Amino acid sequence: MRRTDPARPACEPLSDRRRAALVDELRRAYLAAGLPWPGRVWWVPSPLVGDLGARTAAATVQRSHEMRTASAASRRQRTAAALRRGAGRVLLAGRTVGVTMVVYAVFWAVGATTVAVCVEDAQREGFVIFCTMLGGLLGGASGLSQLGHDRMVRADTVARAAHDRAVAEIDATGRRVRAALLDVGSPRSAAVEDLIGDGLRSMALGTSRTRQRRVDDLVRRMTGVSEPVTVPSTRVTANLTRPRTGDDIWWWAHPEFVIVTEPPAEVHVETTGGGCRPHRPDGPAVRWRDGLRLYFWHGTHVPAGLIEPGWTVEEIHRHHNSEVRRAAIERMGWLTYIERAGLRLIASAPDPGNPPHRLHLYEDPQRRLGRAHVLVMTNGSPADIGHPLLYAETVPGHIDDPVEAAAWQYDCPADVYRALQRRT
Amino acid sequence: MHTYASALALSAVAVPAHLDADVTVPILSGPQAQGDLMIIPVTAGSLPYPRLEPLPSAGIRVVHGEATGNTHWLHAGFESPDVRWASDLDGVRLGYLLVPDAQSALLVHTGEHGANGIAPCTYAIHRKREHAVLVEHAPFTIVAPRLVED
Repeated sequence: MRRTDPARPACEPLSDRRRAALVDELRRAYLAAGLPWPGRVWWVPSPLVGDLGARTAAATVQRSHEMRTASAASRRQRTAAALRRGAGRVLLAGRTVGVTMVVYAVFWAVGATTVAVCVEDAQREGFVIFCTMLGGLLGGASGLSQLGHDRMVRADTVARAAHDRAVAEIDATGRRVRAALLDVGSPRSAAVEDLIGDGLRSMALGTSRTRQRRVDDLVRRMTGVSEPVTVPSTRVTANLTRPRTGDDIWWWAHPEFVIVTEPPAEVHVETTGGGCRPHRPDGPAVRWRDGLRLYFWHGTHVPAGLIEPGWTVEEIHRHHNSEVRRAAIERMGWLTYIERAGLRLIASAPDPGNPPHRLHLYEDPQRRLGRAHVLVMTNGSPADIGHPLLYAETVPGHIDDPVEAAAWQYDCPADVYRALQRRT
Repeated sequence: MHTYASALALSAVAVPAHLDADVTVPILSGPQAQGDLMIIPVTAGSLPYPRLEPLPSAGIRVVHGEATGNTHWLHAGFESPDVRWASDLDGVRLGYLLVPDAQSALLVHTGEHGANGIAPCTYAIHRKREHAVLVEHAPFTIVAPRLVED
Protein backbone atom coordinates (compact mmCIF):
# COMPACT_ATOMS: atom_id res chain seq x y z
CA MET A 1 0.00 0.00 0.00
CA ARG A 2 1.31 3.37 -0.95
CA ARG A 3 1.05 5.88 1.79
CA THR A 4 -0.67 9.10 1.12
CA ASP A 5 -0.67 12.09 3.34
CA PRO A 6 -3.61 14.43 3.01
CA ALA A 7 -1.40 17.39 3.80
CA ARG A 8 1.25 16.52 1.23
CA PRO A 9 1.68 13.36 -0.75
CA ALA A 10 4.71 11.86 0.99
CA CYS A 11 6.60 11.11 -2.17
CA GLU A 12 6.36 14.30 -4.13
CA PRO A 13 9.33 16.63 -4.33
CA LEU A 14 9.11 19.51 -1.92
CA SER A 15 7.66 22.69 -3.28
CA ASP A 16 9.68 25.87 -2.88
CA ARG A 17 7.10 27.06 -0.40
CA ARG A 18 7.33 23.92 1.73
CA ARG A 19 11.11 24.06 1.51
CA ALA A 20 11.13 27.63 2.75
CA ALA A 21 8.69 26.72 5.51
CA LEU A 22 10.92 23.87 6.66
CA VAL A 23 13.97 26.09 6.75
CA ASP A 24 12.00 28.66 8.69
CA GLU A 25 10.90 25.97 11.11
CA LEU A 26 14.51 24.97 11.68
CA ARG A 27 15.60 28.58 12.04
CA ARG A 28 12.98 29.16 14.72
CA ALA A 29 14.07 25.97 16.47
CA TYR A 30 17.69 27.18 16.54
CA LEU A 31 16.64 30.50 17.97
CA ALA A 32 14.37 28.82 20.50
CA ALA A 33 17.31 26.70 21.57
CA GLY A 34 19.37 29.81 22.12
CA LEU A 35 21.65 29.08 19.20
CA PRO A 36 22.49 31.54 16.45
CA TRP A 37 21.00 30.52 13.13
CA PRO A 38 23.91 29.41 10.94
CA GLY A 39 22.15 30.59 7.81
CA ARG A 40 23.76 27.88 5.76
CA VAL A 41 21.37 25.14 4.68
CA TRP A 42 22.40 22.36 2.36
CA TRP A 43 19.84 20.15 0.77
CA VAL A 44 21.01 16.63 0.05
CA PRO A 45 19.27 13.91 -1.94
CA SER A 46 19.19 11.20 0.71
CA PRO A 47 20.00 10.50 4.37
CA LEU A 48 23.13 8.61 3.37
CA VAL A 49 24.57 11.66 1.68
CA GLY A 50 23.37 13.80 4.55
CA ASP A 51 25.06 11.64 7.12
CA LEU A 52 28.41 11.51 5.41
CA GLY A 53 28.18 15.15 4.41
CA ALA A 54 27.34 16.25 7.92
CA ARG A 55 30.16 14.28 9.48
CA THR A 56 32.67 15.45 6.95
CA ALA A 57 31.68 19.08 7.20
CA ALA A 58 31.54 18.97 11.00
CA ALA A 59 34.95 17.37 11.25
CA THR A 60 36.41 19.93 8.89
CA VAL A 61 34.97 22.78 10.89
CA GLN A 62 36.38 21.21 14.04
CA ARG A 63 39.78 20.81 12.50
CA SER A 64 39.80 24.39 11.35
CA HIS A 65 38.97 25.60 14.83
CA GLU A 66 41.80 23.55 16.27
CA MET A 67 44.26 24.83 13.73
CA ARG A 68 43.35 28.40 14.59
CA THR A 69 43.66 27.73 18.33
CA ALA A 70 47.00 26.07 17.93
CA SER A 71 48.32 28.87 15.82
CA ALA A 72 47.71 31.32 18.64
CA ALA A 73 50.33 29.58 20.79
CA SER A 74 53.20 31.77 19.70
CA ARG A 75 53.35 35.50 19.17
CA ARG A 76 54.51 35.10 15.67
CA GLN A 77 51.78 32.68 15.04
CA ARG A 78 49.33 34.95 16.83
CA THR A 79 50.32 37.79 14.62
CA ALA A 80 50.00 35.65 11.63
CA ALA A 81 46.75 34.41 12.94
CA ALA A 82 45.50 37.93 13.43
CA LEU A 83 46.42 38.72 9.89
CA ARG A 84 44.69 35.63 8.73
CA ARG A 85 41.71 35.89 11.02
CA GLY A 86 39.56 37.77 8.63
CA ALA A 87 40.47 35.53 5.82
CA GLY A 88 40.26 32.54 8.13
CA ARG A 89 36.56 32.91 8.57
CA VAL A 90 36.13 33.07 4.88
CA LEU A 91 38.47 30.13 4.54
CA LEU A 92 36.52 28.20 7.12
CA ALA A 93 33.27 28.76 5.36
CA GLY A 94 34.84 28.07 2.03
CA ARG A 95 36.51 24.97 3.30
CA THR A 96 33.34 23.64 4.82
CA VAL A 97 31.52 24.28 1.62
CA GLY A 98 34.39 22.78 -0.28
CA VAL A 99 34.47 19.62 1.75
CA THR A 100 30.79 19.17 1.45
CA MET A 101 30.98 19.84 -2.25
CA VAL A 102 33.60 17.14 -2.53
CA VAL A 103 31.34 14.76 -0.70
CA TYR A 104 28.48 15.62 -2.99
CA ALA A 105 30.69 15.33 -6.03
CA VAL A 106 31.85 11.91 -4.99
CA PHE A 107 28.32 10.82 -4.37
CA TRP A 108 27.05 12.21 -7.61
CA ALA A 109 29.97 10.68 -9.45
CA VAL A 110 29.65 7.18 -8.11
CA GLY A 111 25.95 7.42 -7.45
CA ALA A 112 24.31 6.91 -4.12
CA THR A 113 23.14 3.52 -5.27
CA THR A 114 26.71 2.36 -5.59
CA VAL A 115 27.58 3.74 -2.21
CA ALA A 116 24.41 2.28 -0.74
CA VAL A 117 25.30 -1.11 -2.12
CA CYS A 118 28.70 -0.76 -0.57
CA VAL A 119 27.45 0.25 2.83
CA GLU A 120 24.30 -1.79 2.88
CA ASP A 121 24.43 -4.00 5.91
CA ALA A 122 27.70 -2.41 6.81
CA GLN A 123 27.77 1.02 8.32
CA ARG A 124 31.34 0.44 9.25
CA GLU A 125 32.16 0.06 5.60
CA GLY A 126 30.30 3.23 4.78
CA PHE A 127 32.34 4.92 7.40
CA VAL A 128 35.51 3.63 5.81
CA ILE A 129 34.63 5.67 2.77
CA PHE A 130 33.97 8.71 4.84
CA CYS A 131 37.17 8.40 6.82
CA THR A 132 39.19 7.84 3.74
CA MET A 133 37.85 11.02 2.27
CA LEU A 134 38.25 12.83 5.52
CA GLY A 135 41.68 11.41 6.09
CA GLY A 136 42.73 12.61 2.68
CA LEU A 137 41.47 16.08 3.35
CA LEU A 138 42.84 16.41 6.87
CA GLY A 139 46.13 14.89 5.91
CA GLY A 140 46.73 17.76 3.56
CA ALA A 141 46.50 15.69 0.44
CA SER A 142 45.17 17.59 -2.47
CA GLY A 143 41.70 16.32 -3.04
CA LEU A 144 41.58 12.58 -2.92
CA SER A 145 44.96 11.86 -4.44
CA GLN A 146 47.62 9.44 -3.33
CA LEU A 147 48.31 9.03 0.36
CA GLY A 148 51.53 7.64 1.71
CA HIS A 149 51.31 5.04 4.41
CA ASP A 150 52.59 7.27 7.23
CA ARG A 151 50.34 10.08 6.23
CA MET A 152 47.46 7.69 6.04
CA VAL A 153 48.08 6.44 9.54
CA ARG A 154 48.35 10.00 10.81
CA ALA A 155 45.20 10.95 8.98
CA ASP A 156 43.49 7.98 10.50
CA THR A 157 44.40 9.11 14.02
CA VAL A 158 43.43 12.68 13.31
CA ALA A 159 40.24 11.56 11.70
CA ARG A 160 39.23 9.49 14.69
CA ALA A 161 39.76 12.32 17.14
CA ALA A 162 38.34 15.07 14.97
CA HIS A 163 35.40 13.00 14.01
CA ASP A 164 34.47 12.13 17.57
CA ARG A 165 34.61 15.76 18.58
CA ALA A 166 32.72 16.87 15.51
CA VAL A 167 30.00 14.31 15.99
CA ALA A 168 29.69 15.33 19.60
CA GLU A 169 29.02 18.85 18.36
CA ILE A 170 26.37 17.64 15.95
CA ASP A 171 24.85 15.60 18.72
CA ALA A 172 24.81 18.47 21.20
CA THR A 173 23.40 20.93 18.71
CA GLY A 174 20.91 18.39 17.46
CA ARG A 175 19.69 17.74 20.96
CA ARG A 176 19.14 21.40 21.70
CA VAL A 177 17.44 22.13 18.42
CA ARG A 178 15.34 19.00 18.63
CA ALA A 179 14.23 19.93 22.13
CA ALA A 180 13.25 23.36 20.90
CA LEU A 181 11.45 21.84 17.97
CA LEU A 182 9.51 19.60 20.31
CA ASP A 183 8.59 22.65 22.31
CA VAL A 184 7.09 24.35 19.30
CA GLY A 185 5.29 21.13 18.51
CA SER A 186 6.58 20.67 15.02
CA PRO A 187 7.62 17.05 14.75
CA ARG A 188 5.16 14.24 14.74
CA SER A 189 6.02 10.86 16.14
CA ALA A 190 5.75 8.25 13.45
CA ALA A 191 6.55 4.59 13.75
CA VAL A 192 7.31 4.35 10.05
CA GLU A 193 9.97 7.01 10.24
CA ASP A 194 11.47 5.28 13.26
CA LEU A 195 11.61 1.97 11.42
CA ILE A 196 13.13 3.59 8.37
CA GLY A 197 15.67 5.18 10.68
CA ASP A 198 16.43 1.78 12.15
CA GLY A 199 16.77 0.43 8.65
CA LEU A 200 19.24 3.12 7.74
CA ARG A 201 21.23 2.36 10.82
CA SER A 202 21.14 -1.37 10.31
CA MET A 203 22.49 -0.90 6.80
CA ALA A 204 25.74 -0.70 8.57
CA LEU A 205 25.74 -3.40 11.13
CA GLY A 206 26.38 -6.53 9.16
CA THR A 207 29.15 -7.28 6.77
CA SER A 208 29.98 -9.63 3.98
CA ARG A 209 33.13 -10.34 2.09
CA THR A 210 31.58 -9.31 -1.18
CA ARG A 211 30.53 -5.96 0.18
CA GLN A 212 33.83 -5.49 1.92
CA ARG A 213 35.54 -6.08 -1.40
CA ARG A 214 33.29 -3.60 -3.13
CA VAL A 215 34.01 -1.00 -0.49
CA ASP A 216 37.73 -1.67 -0.71
CA ASP A 217 37.59 -1.29 -4.47
CA LEU A 218 35.69 1.95 -4.20
CA VAL A 219 38.06 3.31 -1.59
CA ARG A 220 41.02 2.27 -3.72
CA ARG A 221 39.61 4.09 -6.71
CA MET A 222 39.01 7.18 -4.63
CA THR A 223 42.32 7.26 -2.84
CA GLY A 224 44.72 5.30 -4.92
CA VAL A 225 45.96 3.43 -1.85
CA SER A 226 45.66 -0.26 -1.41
CA GLU A 227 44.38 -0.35 2.16
CA PRO A 228 41.45 1.71 3.34
CA VAL A 229 41.64 3.80 6.45
CA THR A 230 39.32 2.20 8.92
CA VAL A 231 37.72 3.57 12.01
CA PRO A 232 35.93 0.75 13.79
CA SER A 233 33.69 2.94 15.83
CA THR A 234 30.11 2.12 16.52
CA ARG A 235 29.46 5.44 18.16
CA VAL A 236 29.90 7.31 14.95
CA THR A 237 27.18 5.32 13.32
CA ALA A 238 24.75 5.57 16.16
CA ASN A 239 23.20 8.74 14.87
CA LEU A 240 22.84 8.09 11.21
CA THR A 241 19.36 9.44 11.38
CA ARG A 242 19.03 12.78 12.94
CA PRO A 243 15.94 14.27 14.47
CA ARG A 244 13.63 15.26 11.72
CA THR A 245 10.82 17.62 11.17
CA GLY A 246 8.34 15.10 9.85
CA ASP A 247 7.58 14.58 6.17
CA ASP A 248 10.20 11.80 6.00
CA ILE A 249 12.92 14.42 6.14
CA TRP A 250 16.12 13.84 8.01
CA TRP A 251 18.30 16.72 9.02
CA TRP A 252 21.52 17.39 10.86
CA ALA A 253 22.03 20.42 13.05
CA HIS A 254 25.43 21.99 13.53
CA PRO A 255 26.37 25.43 14.83
CA GLU A 256 27.70 26.40 11.43
CA PHE A 257 25.40 24.59 9.03
CA VAL A 258 22.24 22.55 8.65
CA ILE A 259 21.94 19.63 6.29
CA VAL A 260 18.44 18.63 5.22
CA THR A 261 17.47 15.68 3.05
CA GLU A 262 14.98 15.66 0.26
CA PRO A 263 12.01 13.40 1.00
CA PRO A 264 12.01 9.88 -0.44
CA ALA A 265 10.47 9.30 -3.83
CA GLU A 266 8.55 6.25 -2.62
CA VAL A 267 7.40 4.96 0.74
CA HIS A 268 5.41 1.74 0.88
CA VAL A 269 3.77 0.72 4.09
CA GLU A 270 1.26 -1.75 5.39
CA THR A 271 -1.38 -0.67 7.79
CA THR A 272 -1.57 -2.25 11.20
CA GLY A 273 -4.06 -1.67 13.93
CA GLY A 274 -2.04 0.96 15.69
CA GLY A 275 -0.47 2.58 12.68
CA CYS A 276 1.65 1.40 9.83
CA ARG A 277 5.10 0.06 9.08
CA PRO A 278 7.27 -0.15 5.99
CA HIS A 279 6.65 -3.23 3.92
CA ARG A 280 6.84 -4.13 0.26
CA PRO A 281 6.99 -7.69 -1.06
CA ASP A 282 8.20 -6.84 -4.57
CA GLY A 283 10.58 -3.92 -4.38
CA PRO A 284 12.16 -1.28 -2.18
CA ALA A 285 9.82 -0.01 0.49
CA VAL A 286 11.64 3.30 0.61
CA ARG A 287 13.47 4.90 -2.27
CA TRP A 288 15.17 8.26 -2.49
CA ARG A 289 15.68 10.05 -5.75
CA ASP A 290 19.43 9.52 -5.77
CA GLY A 291 18.87 5.78 -5.86
CA LEU A 292 19.23 4.92 -2.18
CA ARG A 293 16.81 2.11 -1.42
CA LEU A 294 15.67 0.34 1.71
CA TYR A 295 13.84 -2.96 1.69
CA PHE A 296 11.42 -3.98 4.42
CA TRP A 297 9.44 -7.13 5.08
CA HIS A 298 6.61 -6.39 7.52
CA GLY A 299 8.72 -3.76 9.22
CA THR A 300 11.94 -5.81 9.26
CA HIS A 301 14.76 -4.24 7.31
CA VAL A 302 16.09 -6.86 4.93
CA PRO A 303 18.81 -7.01 2.27
CA ALA A 304 17.73 -6.06 -1.24
CA GLY A 305 18.29 -9.52 -2.70
CA LEU A 306 15.84 -11.07 -0.27
CA ILE A 307 13.08 -9.10 -1.98
CA GLU A 308 14.50 -8.72 -5.48
CA PRO A 309 14.64 -11.43 -6.74
CA GLY A 310 14.19 -13.39 -3.49
CA TRP A 311 16.63 -15.74 -1.86
CA THR A 312 17.24 -19.38 -2.53
CA VAL A 313 17.10 -21.85 0.33
CA GLU A 314 20.90 -21.82 0.45
CA GLU A 315 21.00 -18.04 0.68
CA ILE A 316 18.43 -18.12 3.47
CA HIS A 317 20.47 -20.58 5.49
CA ARG A 318 23.65 -18.59 4.95
CA HIS A 319 22.36 -15.40 6.52
CA HIS A 320 23.42 -14.81 10.10
CA ASN A 321 20.35 -12.98 11.32
CA SER A 322 17.38 -15.06 12.34
CA GLU A 323 14.78 -12.33 11.82
CA VAL A 324 16.04 -11.85 8.31
CA ARG A 325 16.04 -15.60 7.73
CA ARG A 326 12.47 -15.79 8.92
CA ALA A 327 11.50 -12.89 6.66
CA ALA A 328 13.15 -14.68 3.75
CA ILE A 329 11.27 -17.90 4.47
CA GLU A 330 8.01 -16.00 4.75
CA ARG A 331 8.79 -14.21 1.50
CA MET A 332 9.35 -17.61 -0.12
CA GLY A 333 6.37 -19.10 1.72
CA TRP A 334 6.76 -21.80 4.35
CA LEU A 335 5.18 -24.43 2.17
CA THR A 336 7.57 -23.70 -0.68
CA TYR A 337 10.41 -23.61 1.81
CA ILE A 338 9.45 -27.02 3.19
CA GLU A 339 9.57 -28.45 -0.31
CA ARG A 340 12.74 -26.73 -1.48
CA ALA A 341 14.65 -27.25 1.73
CA GLY A 342 13.77 -30.92 1.68
CA LEU A 343 11.98 -31.05 5.01
CA ARG A 344 10.68 -34.50 5.95
CA LEU A 345 7.13 -35.31 7.04
CA ILE A 346 7.22 -36.87 10.50
CA ALA A 347 3.51 -37.39 11.11
CA SER A 348 -0.01 -36.31 10.16
CA ALA A 349 -3.21 -36.32 12.18
CA PRO A 350 -6.79 -35.03 11.88
CA ASP A 351 -7.03 -31.39 12.96
CA PRO A 352 -9.34 -31.27 16.01
CA GLY A 353 -12.30 -28.94 15.51
CA ASN A 354 -11.30 -28.30 11.92
CA PRO A 355 -12.55 -31.20 9.78
CA PRO A 356 -11.73 -32.42 7.19
CA HIS A 357 -8.31 -30.89 7.50
CA ARG A 358 -5.20 -32.50 8.91
CA LEU A 359 -2.13 -31.33 10.78
CA HIS A 360 1.28 -32.16 9.32
CA LEU A 361 4.54 -32.07 11.24
CA TYR A 362 7.88 -31.72 9.46
CA GLU A 363 11.52 -31.87 10.46
CA ASP A 364 14.70 -30.85 8.74
CA PRO A 365 16.97 -33.89 8.43
CA GLN A 366 19.93 -31.51 8.09
CA ARG A 367 19.07 -29.73 11.33
CA ARG A 368 19.24 -26.32 9.70
CA LEU A 369 16.24 -25.39 11.82
CA GLY A 370 18.05 -26.41 14.95
CA ARG A 371 15.74 -28.35 17.20
CA ALA A 372 12.60 -26.91 15.67
CA HIS A 373 9.89 -28.75 13.81
CA VAL A 374 7.46 -27.15 11.43
CA LEU A 375 3.71 -27.62 11.85
CA VAL A 376 1.57 -27.16 8.76
CA MET A 377 -2.05 -26.26 9.43
CA THR A 378 -5.16 -25.21 7.56
CA ASN A 379 -6.88 -21.98 8.47
CA GLY A 380 -10.17 -22.60 10.26
CA SER A 381 -11.88 -19.94 8.21
CA PRO A 382 -11.73 -19.87 4.45
CA ALA A 383 -9.62 -17.01 3.23
CA ASP A 384 -10.89 -14.71 0.52
CA ILE A 385 -8.58 -16.48 -1.92
CA GLY A 386 -11.33 -19.08 -2.44
CA HIS A 387 -9.56 -22.14 -1.06
CA PRO A 388 -8.32 -23.22 2.35
CA LEU A 389 -5.22 -21.37 3.40
CA LEU A 390 -2.33 -23.55 4.48
CA TYR A 391 0.27 -22.06 6.74
CA ALA A 392 3.16 -23.26 8.85
CA GLU A 393 4.75 -22.33 12.13
CA THR A 394 7.70 -23.59 14.10
CA VAL A 395 7.27 -25.73 17.21
CA PRO A 396 9.80 -27.35 19.56
CA GLY A 397 11.76 -30.18 18.03
CA HIS A 398 11.11 -32.61 20.89
CA ILE A 399 7.42 -32.83 19.92
CA ASP A 400 6.74 -35.56 17.36
CA ASP A 401 2.95 -35.59 17.50
CA PRO A 402 1.11 -32.97 15.37
CA VAL A 403 -1.76 -32.55 17.85
CA GLU A 404 0.65 -32.19 20.74
CA ALA A 405 2.51 -29.63 18.71
CA ALA A 406 -0.70 -27.67 18.07
CA ALA A 407 -1.57 -27.89 21.79
CA TRP A 408 1.90 -26.62 22.68
CA GLN A 409 1.21 -23.54 20.56
CA TYR A 410 -1.63 -22.54 22.90
CA ASP A 411 0.08 -23.95 25.99
CA CYS A 412 -2.83 -26.23 26.75
CA PRO A 413 -2.92 -29.98 27.49
CA ALA A 414 -3.03 -32.15 24.38
CA ASP A 415 -6.17 -33.84 25.68
CA VAL A 416 -7.93 -30.49 25.84
CA TYR A 417 -6.80 -29.68 22.35
CA ARG A 418 -8.08 -33.03 21.09
CA ALA A 419 -11.50 -32.03 22.44
CA LEU A 420 -11.53 -28.81 20.42
CA GLN A 421 -15.15 -28.29 19.36
CA ARG A 422 -14.75 -25.60 16.81
CA ARG A 423 -12.03 -23.70 15.05
CA THR A 424 -12.75 -20.53 13.13
CA MET B 1 -29.25 -16.32 19.38
CA HIS B 2 -26.67 -14.33 17.55
CA THR B 3 -26.10 -14.67 13.87
CA TYR B 4 -22.82 -13.73 12.27
CA ALA B 5 -24.39 -10.45 11.22
CA SER B 6 -25.58 -9.52 14.70
CA ALA B 7 -22.42 -10.79 16.43
CA LEU B 8 -20.03 -8.98 14.15
CA ALA B 9 -22.17 -5.86 14.33
CA LEU B 10 -21.20 -5.65 18.02
CA SER B 11 -17.70 -4.81 16.88
CA ALA B 12 -18.96 -2.79 13.91
CA VAL B 13 -17.56 -5.39 11.53
CA ALA B 14 -19.15 -6.34 8.24
CA VAL B 15 -19.68 -10.03 7.65
CA PRO B 16 -16.84 -11.45 5.54
CA ALA B 17 -17.84 -12.81 2.16
CA HIS B 18 -17.12 -16.42 3.11
CA LEU B 19 -19.60 -16.38 6.00
CA ASP B 20 -23.37 -16.55 5.69
CA ALA B 21 -24.65 -13.56 7.61
CA ASP B 22 -27.82 -15.32 8.74
CA VAL B 23 -26.18 -18.44 10.14
CA THR B 24 -26.48 -18.80 13.90
CA VAL B 25 -23.27 -18.61 15.89
CA PRO B 26 -23.09 -21.84 17.93
CA ILE B 27 -22.80 -21.36 21.69
CA LEU B 28 -20.35 -24.00 22.94
CA SER B 29 -18.94 -24.87 26.33
CA GLY B 30 -15.94 -26.90 25.16
CA PRO B 31 -12.58 -25.63 23.95
CA GLN B 32 -12.71 -23.48 20.85
CA ALA B 33 -10.08 -21.80 18.72
CA GLN B 34 -10.44 -18.52 16.91
CA GLY B 35 -7.39 -18.03 14.78
CA ASP B 36 -4.54 -17.45 17.17
CA LEU B 37 -6.71 -17.44 20.30
CA MET B 38 -8.03 -20.45 22.19
CA ILE B 39 -10.91 -20.52 24.65
CA ILE B 40 -10.00 -23.16 27.21
CA PRO B 41 -12.42 -24.35 29.91
CA VAL B 42 -10.78 -24.22 33.33
CA THR B 43 -11.93 -25.15 36.83
CA ALA B 44 -13.95 -22.49 38.58
CA GLY B 45 -11.39 -22.39 41.37
CA SER B 46 -8.65 -21.04 39.11
CA LEU B 47 -10.36 -17.71 38.43
CA PRO B 48 -9.15 -14.54 40.21
CA TYR B 49 -12.66 -13.61 41.38
CA PRO B 50 -11.87 -10.26 43.04
CA ARG B 51 -10.48 -8.96 39.77
CA LEU B 52 -13.28 -10.10 37.51
CA GLU B 53 -15.16 -7.17 36.02
CA PRO B 54 -18.30 -6.93 33.93
CA LEU B 55 -17.74 -6.50 30.22
CA PRO B 56 -18.42 -2.96 29.05
CA SER B 57 -21.08 -2.56 26.40
CA ALA B 58 -18.39 -1.76 23.84
CA GLY B 59 -16.67 -5.06 24.66
CA ILE B 60 -13.07 -5.79 25.59
CA ARG B 61 -10.27 -5.74 23.07
CA VAL B 62 -8.66 -9.02 24.05
CA VAL B 63 -5.78 -8.88 21.62
CA HIS B 64 -4.89 -6.73 18.70
CA GLY B 65 -2.79 -8.00 15.82
CA GLU B 66 -0.30 -5.29 14.97
CA ALA B 67 0.65 -7.09 11.80
CA THR B 68 -2.82 -7.46 10.40
CA GLY B 69 -4.69 -4.70 12.15
CA ASN B 70 -7.34 -7.19 13.25
CA THR B 71 -8.70 -7.43 16.75
CA HIS B 72 -10.33 -10.14 18.83
CA TRP B 73 -13.18 -8.55 20.81
CA LEU B 74 -14.97 -10.10 23.73
CA HIS B 75 -18.64 -9.17 24.15
CA ALA B 76 -21.44 -10.25 26.43
CA GLY B 77 -24.21 -12.17 24.62
CA PHE B 78 -27.94 -11.40 24.70
CA GLU B 79 -29.26 -10.77 28.19
CA SER B 80 -25.88 -11.56 29.70
CA PRO B 81 -25.11 -8.67 32.05
CA ASP B 82 -23.05 -10.77 34.46
CA VAL B 83 -20.36 -12.02 32.11
CA ARG B 84 -17.05 -11.07 33.69
CA TRP B 85 -13.47 -10.83 32.51
CA ALA B 86 -10.14 -10.44 34.29
CA SER B 87 -7.05 -9.59 32.33
CA ASP B 88 -4.28 -11.82 33.67
CA LEU B 89 -1.27 -11.85 31.42
CA ASP B 90 1.04 -14.76 32.05
CA GLY B 91 2.90 -16.43 29.22
CA VAL B 92 0.33 -17.05 26.53
CA ARG B 93 -2.60 -16.49 28.90
CA LEU B 94 -4.53 -13.29 28.31
CA GLY B 95 -7.10 -13.58 31.07
CA TYR B 96 -10.04 -15.40 32.58
CA LEU B 97 -13.68 -15.37 31.57
CA LEU B 98 -16.72 -16.19 33.66
CA VAL B 99 -20.00 -16.88 31.87
CA PRO B 100 -22.81 -17.41 34.44
CA ASP B 101 -25.67 -19.85 33.98
CA ALA B 102 -28.18 -18.93 31.28
CA GLN B 103 -25.87 -16.28 29.87
CA SER B 104 -23.35 -16.24 27.04
CA ALA B 105 -20.34 -14.42 25.65
CA LEU B 106 -19.06 -13.81 22.15
CA LEU B 107 -15.53 -13.68 20.84
CA VAL B 108 -15.57 -11.63 17.65
CA HIS B 109 -12.71 -11.30 15.19
CA THR B 110 -12.54 -8.27 12.94
CA GLY B 111 -10.84 -10.35 10.26
CA GLU B 112 -11.81 -13.60 8.63
CA HIS B 113 -12.45 -15.67 11.75
CA GLY B 114 -15.99 -14.47 12.40
CA ALA B 115 -17.49 -15.16 15.82
CA ASN B 116 -17.50 -17.85 18.50
CA GLY B 117 -20.31 -18.21 21.02
CA ILE B 118 -19.31 -19.13 24.57
CA ALA B 119 -21.69 -21.04 26.89
CA PRO B 120 -21.86 -20.82 30.70
CA CYS B 121 -18.61 -22.02 32.27
CA THR B 122 -15.25 -20.65 33.40
CA TYR B 123 -12.50 -20.20 30.86
CA ALA B 124 -9.00 -19.00 30.23
CA ILE B 125 -8.24 -17.38 26.91
CA HIS B 126 -4.79 -18.14 25.56
CA ARG B 127 -3.00 -16.78 22.56
CA LYS B 128 -0.67 -18.70 20.33
CA ARG B 129 3.07 -18.92 20.39
CA GLU B 130 5.69 -20.04 17.95
CA HIS B 131 9.04 -21.63 18.53
CA ALA B 132 11.08 -18.64 17.54
CA VAL B 133 14.46 -18.29 16.00
CA LEU B 134 15.93 -15.17 17.46
CA VAL B 135 19.66 -15.52 17.68
CA GLU B 136 22.25 -13.70 15.66
CA HIS B 137 25.51 -15.19 14.51
CA ALA B 138 24.44 -18.68 15.54
CA PRO B 139 22.44 -20.09 12.71
CA PHE B 140 19.04 -21.31 13.80
CA THR B 141 19.67 -21.53 17.49
CA ILE B 142 16.32 -21.66 19.19
CA VAL B 143 16.02 -19.53 22.26
CA ALA B 144 12.54 -18.34 23.00
CA PRO B 145 8.94 -18.62 21.95
CA ARG B 146 7.33 -15.83 20.03
CA LEU B 147 3.69 -14.83 20.26
CA VAL B 148 1.60 -15.09 17.14
CA GLU B 149 -0.93 -12.58 15.91
CA ASP B 150 -3.64 -12.87 13.35
